[in-house]
Amino acid sequence: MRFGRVLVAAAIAAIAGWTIPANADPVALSFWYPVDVGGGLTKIVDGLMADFNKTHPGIKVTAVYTGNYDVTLQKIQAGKLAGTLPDVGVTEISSVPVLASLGAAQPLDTLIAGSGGAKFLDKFWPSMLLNSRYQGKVYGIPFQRSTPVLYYNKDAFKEVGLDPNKPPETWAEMASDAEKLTKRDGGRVTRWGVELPLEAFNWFYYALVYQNGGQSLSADGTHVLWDQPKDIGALQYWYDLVNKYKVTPAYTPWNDGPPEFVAGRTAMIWHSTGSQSFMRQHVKFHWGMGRLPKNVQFGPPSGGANMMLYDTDPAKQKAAWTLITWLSAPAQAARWSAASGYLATSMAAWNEPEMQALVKKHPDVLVTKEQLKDAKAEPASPKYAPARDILNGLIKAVLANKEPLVAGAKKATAEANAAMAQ
Amino acid sequence: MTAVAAGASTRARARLAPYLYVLPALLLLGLWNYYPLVYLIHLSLHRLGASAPMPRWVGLTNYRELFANPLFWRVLGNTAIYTGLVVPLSIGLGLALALALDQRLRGARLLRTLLYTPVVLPTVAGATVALWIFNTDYGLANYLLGLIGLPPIGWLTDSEYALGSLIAVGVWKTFGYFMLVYLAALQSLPQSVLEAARLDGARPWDRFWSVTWPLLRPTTWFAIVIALILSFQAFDFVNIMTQGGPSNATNLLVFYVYQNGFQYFRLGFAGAIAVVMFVLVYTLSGLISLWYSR
Amino acid sequence: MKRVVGRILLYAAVLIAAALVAMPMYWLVVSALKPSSEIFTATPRWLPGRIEWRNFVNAWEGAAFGRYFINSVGVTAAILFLQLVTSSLAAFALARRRFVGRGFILFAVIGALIIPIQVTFLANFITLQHFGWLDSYGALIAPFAASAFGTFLLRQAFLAVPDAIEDAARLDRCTGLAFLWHFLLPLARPTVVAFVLVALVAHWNDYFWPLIVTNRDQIRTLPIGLAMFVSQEVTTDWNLLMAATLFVAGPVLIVFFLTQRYFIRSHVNAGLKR
Repeated sequence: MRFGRVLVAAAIAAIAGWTIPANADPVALSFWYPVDVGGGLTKIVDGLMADFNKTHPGIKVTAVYTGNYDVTLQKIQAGKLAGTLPDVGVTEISSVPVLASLGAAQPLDTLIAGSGGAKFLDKFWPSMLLNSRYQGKVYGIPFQRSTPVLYYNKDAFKEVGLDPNKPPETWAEMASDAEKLTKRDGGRVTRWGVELPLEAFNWFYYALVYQNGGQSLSADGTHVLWDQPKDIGALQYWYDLVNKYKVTPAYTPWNDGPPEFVAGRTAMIWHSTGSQSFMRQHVKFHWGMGRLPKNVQFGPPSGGANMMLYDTDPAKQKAAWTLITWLSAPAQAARWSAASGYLATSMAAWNEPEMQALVKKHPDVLVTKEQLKDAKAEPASPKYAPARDILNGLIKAVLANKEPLVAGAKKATAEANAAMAQ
Repeated sequence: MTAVAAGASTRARARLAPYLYVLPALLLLGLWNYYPLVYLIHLSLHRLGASAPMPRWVGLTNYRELFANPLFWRVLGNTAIYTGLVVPLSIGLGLALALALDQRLRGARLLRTLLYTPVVLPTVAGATVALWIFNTDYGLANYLLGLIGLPPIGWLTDSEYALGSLIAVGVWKTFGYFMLVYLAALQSLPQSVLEAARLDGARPWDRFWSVTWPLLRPTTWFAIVIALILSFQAFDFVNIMTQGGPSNATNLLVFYVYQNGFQYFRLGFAGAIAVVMFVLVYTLSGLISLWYSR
Repeated sequence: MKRVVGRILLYAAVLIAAALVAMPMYWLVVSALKPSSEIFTATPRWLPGRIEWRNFVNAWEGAAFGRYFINSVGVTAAILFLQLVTSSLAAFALARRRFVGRGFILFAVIGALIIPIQVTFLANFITLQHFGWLDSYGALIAPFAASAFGTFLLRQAFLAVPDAIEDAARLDRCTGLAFLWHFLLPLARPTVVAFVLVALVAHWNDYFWPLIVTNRDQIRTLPIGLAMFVSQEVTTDWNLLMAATLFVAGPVLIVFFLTQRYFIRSHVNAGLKR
């Protein structure tokens, strides 16, 4: 009897639940992001989301730290199979074609049209949109973006008679300055001229290829061009820095770079704009930032991560799009950039008080902005991931003199093309 | 109810009971360990992932591509070297230290505890510390080399040393387990047999080979099986320390599966690697068991 | 004389091994105590010039370690409990009962030992999604509710119990599960302890699986806190990383040191009988 009554009560509750108008509940959104949190960046993201929820009563966003770039991408790929995608996800920019071709990320063109169309996109630095499209449609909106710059030790420049306000601008200057800056104690190098640390995404290889006027991936994204003359030339320059001028170590792991610079073990280093806060905290000498050098042109590669949308339900899409546009609006972009060291994504963001204050305190930061006009896309295509690793192996083997440059590049090219065709 | 019927039902229950006892474990292992295997075999005959959002039947194509891929053979070679060295080295070192500690050394208890510690240290923690120690510029390892006048080595960054460094970490992490297993076995060996051998005047070395070692055979069988399983821990080390690099010098089968499945999202291909890995491990375990029951 | 030399050599060899083992752990602790300025020096310092306790504070604040700690304890305890129940039941039947299919079942259990998680986790991820358990404690616990290793180890230990004991227990009407609970488990206690510690380490340590199946910070476990410090784009602060490593490793090491005497005895039964 009592059981029956409970059942009736439950049924009434259930019906009542159904009849409550849907708009009383806020739309729940999940936001996945991969930032490194050693510097407490999760707190900044949490702060942004709290403010968003306060100002948008119809939406409730939960931000989720999802591990590094690779793990975040894997979670989304697995989520596509299991049907557990986030509403908005932040992933490394080269994942745009990967997740778009998989049918996970959704095209944004209709939503963009509703927010002003071309005018909406024109707010961003044009180079930041280079990795946003797949097959003519827009998928990625810039969020935590970075680009490499040259950090250099002004004291070391002075010490060897170089002008501390003139970092090298060309490949030739880079090599000759590095030769002057390299210090040896007998056979052992105590200070390198310049370091080009290597991470999984092969950033500096792309930089060199672009600087040399080349491309490393065919326009349709189906095959790599590492055996082409300009690509060979790029790798040859890197090889020469290591093995001819002997001013660069064969391999510097990505994370070892900034501490090397801080400790004076290298006088110049190419590294992410994202490392500025580490440098400001730890460097004890005078230092500056410059553009990466050019050969036939300047060509810093793009980097960092874009926001993508995974909802197919129109109501959720609308809410997710509100979040994306809010985060990329100048006020939030400036707040995020000033606190994190990632680049402000829109031109207007640089006029926000946070960015103005930052520029006043660290005028060097303008270099990062100036460089954006030359920035190039990061090579990307749906099946590029294995090629990325093959290239990484090629660079390490060639620089360490374990494989001949031209033959190695030919072999790696064939291997990568086979892997991408699979 | 007659007594006969009651007896029969008790007997029936007794006959059924063992099945009920194994049922929970069996169902769970079936669901979480064996079903995935079936799923993988199924996957390995399909294209799914980056090149096909929906599964597409391709027959044995994934296997053909795998066997034609030079990287697969390289990875297989790396795995053979890794397993082929870590298993005997960790067991051998464990046995040697067990024999030493069995000599009633002073401080044996403290040493035993210390030598066992890496086993209980979380793999993630061990890998992170190893990463720091093997750091080319600030790591302890190169500092120590410098003290004895040797140039620094790219422990994890030079393709000639990286696999060796991983092997060292693998041995470091596991030998303590085998030390304890052997120590326990040594202490429970029949004293009379050992005493008889001693009275025969056999030298310690001969005594070990002719008496102790044969008696330890069941323990060794157990140790080898466990060592093979523990060698899967290499995944954590590779994932945290080298990501299979440099230039695939430390790419091992467990990592290769993961790399293709989740980094490249080639699920069918990864399934084929996993199936091949499986056949290899099963064959190997079978051979070891054959040796044991010889 | 020869004996003395032999003994000295023996000591030397064991001490070298001990030093090789101790060094990394010493380095872990010392690095966690150093200020950043002493981390990146050309000649490493054996002792911190200044002890930087703030590393622990900074690392602690880098992730919700307090919450993670509670979750780790809860999840690990639940896994251990379930594994003990399912493993001892299965081991009991496999060691002490004759029934059709026993050999095959034993083979299946041992076979499951060699299926690594890198092989199973995609299928398990999808299964959990079907159950609607992703992003819940269930996802962290359910896939580990049975243990092939535990079943195997306990079976070895139960085999070693003489039949006479079971016969005597039967006279006292202590049969079936009562016999398992009152006789087998107490007699196999060293093995149980050994298994619990091995499983404790394995599941306490697991970080890949929790990172993949959890999204809410409230249900995540300790090693994810460590994963947060393994950075992608910005430099690694080794001292903070080592401090975070200690948060993860510390509890396991403490449990080990407290129970080690017991623990070490426990290996006697493992693997002696087949």
